[in-house]
Amino acid sequence: MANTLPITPESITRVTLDNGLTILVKDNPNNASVALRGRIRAGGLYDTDKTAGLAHFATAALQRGTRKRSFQKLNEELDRYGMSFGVGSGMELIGFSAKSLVEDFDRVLALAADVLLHPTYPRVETEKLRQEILADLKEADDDTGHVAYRAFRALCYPSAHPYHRLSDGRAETVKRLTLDALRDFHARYFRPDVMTIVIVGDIRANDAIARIERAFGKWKVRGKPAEHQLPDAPKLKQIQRKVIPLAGKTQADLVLGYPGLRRTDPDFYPLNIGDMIFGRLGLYGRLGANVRDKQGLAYYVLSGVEANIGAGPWSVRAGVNPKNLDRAIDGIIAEINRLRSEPVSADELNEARDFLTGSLALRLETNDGVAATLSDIELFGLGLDYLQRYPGIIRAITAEQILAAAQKYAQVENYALAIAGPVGG
Amino acid sequence: MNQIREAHLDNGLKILLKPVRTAPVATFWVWYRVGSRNEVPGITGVSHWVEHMMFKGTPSLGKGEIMKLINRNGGVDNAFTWTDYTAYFETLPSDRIDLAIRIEADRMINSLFDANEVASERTVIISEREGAENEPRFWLGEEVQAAAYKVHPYHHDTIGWKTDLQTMTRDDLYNHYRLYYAPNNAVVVAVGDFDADEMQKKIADAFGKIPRGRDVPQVKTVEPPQEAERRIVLRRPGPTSYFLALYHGPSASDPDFFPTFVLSSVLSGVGGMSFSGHGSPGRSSRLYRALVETGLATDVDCGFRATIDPGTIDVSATARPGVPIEKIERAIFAELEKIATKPITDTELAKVVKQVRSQFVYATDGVMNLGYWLGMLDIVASYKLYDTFLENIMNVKKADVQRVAQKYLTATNRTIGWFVPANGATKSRARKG
Repeated sequence: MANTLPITPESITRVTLDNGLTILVKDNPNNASVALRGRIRAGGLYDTDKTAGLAHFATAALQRGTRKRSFQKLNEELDRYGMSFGVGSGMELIGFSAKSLVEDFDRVLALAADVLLHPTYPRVETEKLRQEILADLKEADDDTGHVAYRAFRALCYPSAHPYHRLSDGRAETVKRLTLDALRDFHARYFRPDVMTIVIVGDIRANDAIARIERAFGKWKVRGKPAEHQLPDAPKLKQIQRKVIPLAGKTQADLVLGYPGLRRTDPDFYPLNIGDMIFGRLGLYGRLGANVRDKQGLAYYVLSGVEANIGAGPWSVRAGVNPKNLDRAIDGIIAEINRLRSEPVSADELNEARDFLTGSLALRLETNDGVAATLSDIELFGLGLDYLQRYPGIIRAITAEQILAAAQKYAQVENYALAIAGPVGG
Repeated sequence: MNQIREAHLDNGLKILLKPVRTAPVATFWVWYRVGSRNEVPGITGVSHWVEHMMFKGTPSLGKGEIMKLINRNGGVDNAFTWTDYTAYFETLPSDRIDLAIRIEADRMINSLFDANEVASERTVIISEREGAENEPRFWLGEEVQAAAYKVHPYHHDTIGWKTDLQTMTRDDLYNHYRLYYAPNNAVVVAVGDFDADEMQKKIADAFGKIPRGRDVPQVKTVEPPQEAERRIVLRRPGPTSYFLALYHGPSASDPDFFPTFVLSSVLSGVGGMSFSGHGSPGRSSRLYRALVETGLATDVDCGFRATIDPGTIDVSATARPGVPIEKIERAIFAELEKIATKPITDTELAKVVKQVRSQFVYATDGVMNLGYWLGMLDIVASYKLYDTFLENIMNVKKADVQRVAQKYLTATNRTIGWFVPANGATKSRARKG
């Protein structure tokens, strides 16, 4: 088996239709299925404090009825052919995905186009969905991990920043969103010129493009798309700490962190590699070695950099018994201090580099994996030769750059910390 | 599609190999025939805890070294424990797969179980359980499972009772390891970009020198037929009501297995068949239409798992906040009665066949899923079910589905659990710390 990359400028076909829709196709004859992924540059960032949850609700409701299909008919069609289609909105992007056997690709494509272009927001089905979202919000209010993360985001970002909220909204706002507001959201933000479709599967590129053009080519654009901007996040000026007691719980979940950076920021690679060493490699990196393995304080303690279009947070999450909370937090802070005060060792850096470059084969093994990578390459403008350049980018990152990035983004004296569980009150 | 090769070593190790040469990747698994099914009171949870200890080092590979080696070579690894098995896997670029063979052969026999490591892992295991205890569904599941099985070890959850986790000793763990971790109690599965002859030789070289272990004790306990409907009402703080009913059903090797699989699929769709598990949400299925579309519940499911001993058909639902749980129960029982009294339609049967067919194609995109399927099926019945699974589904007749519905979905055969939020919904108060 030749060790060839599935994504190169030669192996990917990329076209933009007259209406602005961008299509990327990778032909993979090894599995008799087709995976489709799409993104629209819109989302909860357009919600206001009064309309929190609008993008999420308006997008979820697309499948509740279309010009050609009732909710029931749509569900029946998906199940009858063993296909899947889903669409949802986050804060900065609306994402959709579909999967079918090769023989059913036209069918799932027609269904996807009908849902994305022609939703009708039928009253009865949309109201049912509203009740389901309200029930989800109620369950989320009882979920220690979710409550802690939501509170962390509110502490970490100022109220004017979209990241201050989560995209699913609040019960009081979701209750008041009108059907007209949902329709208006769809009409305003669903446009081909802010949309990308990636196809990976057992289909020739020209054939795939012709079929997508048949399904989406007649979609016209009017005017210009809305500005898609996420403001920078100011650094924290003091420790922000919040404790939310929840009844009937055994364990407390905590989230501790800082505003981070954008995926396109040059600091992304050093910070991300530093974070891998700090809380991800092996069994949760240094955090796992200290807080889980040495001290036995938590089943899970891990970190992550949410580098998106906007500067998402850099944070640590852990689940601990309430009597161990202070020790766990001390352990986390000690590891942040270490990352800020001394360069990572050559051994750690090599491990992270080897993992990032060596694991490409695994990440690109499936249709879904190739589609996800291709979507990110397109979204962040990385270029179709990105995977060929990638080992060089990773190998060039030094321990000094990681130290500088850790010092820039983590301030031990100013962090946001939210805790939810059987504590305080 | 090329065939699966089966081979055996003199020490009893079973080997299943399937070359798939579409991407430069291979996956290597060791499945041990041990899980919470093999546990007795006092050491419940021991199989899962042993799994954690397998990452704590051998004389040649220190603590943490395994994951480090895998990372250095661009791979992923993990392990999991269930009622019937404990499984370990590494997925790597195919030119590095020898590493997995070396790691697994080493820890099958040489894991240390250092007393200090056992002590620090105790709190980690208890923390894993306490994380689960934050979920209302965990409490309900644990109670209903314990009531449904009076004598068979499916009585307890794989994590184990907390009191056992507090008192189990290092020797309890080590003895369990020495008894069950042996070539004659394991199945090795490799799938991916390799030559079968070469791979078989490498496995024989690495595992062949490990001596055969003692014969493992067989689980003889048979759950007696249930004579009366059982009920659990659990009152705890929580956001809404949850419903769960377990009906005793067939084992994976029972001829009723496939009709029951179709039964559960007609009720709530074919679940995800990939290792990572997402299938279609089954929104055209009977239970979704009767419970979610009517606004009674926010989700509903009929789960049915392949197990060595007779498992359960699990019907669960989450009440829409404010809906009395009695109404959920009535709606579910009405659907179960309907499927037992009237045959399913041709359309419903055809839908299940097509869903299984497509899920199998999706699940074979990537070597990891295939490694999971072959090993899991071989533990609970036989890996040969993999190749015949779709055919078996296609052979199921409408009358078979009705017959298994009548046989298993009866009132005396069920244990019903209600999770009722204590004092209505919980109120949370926030304060600045």
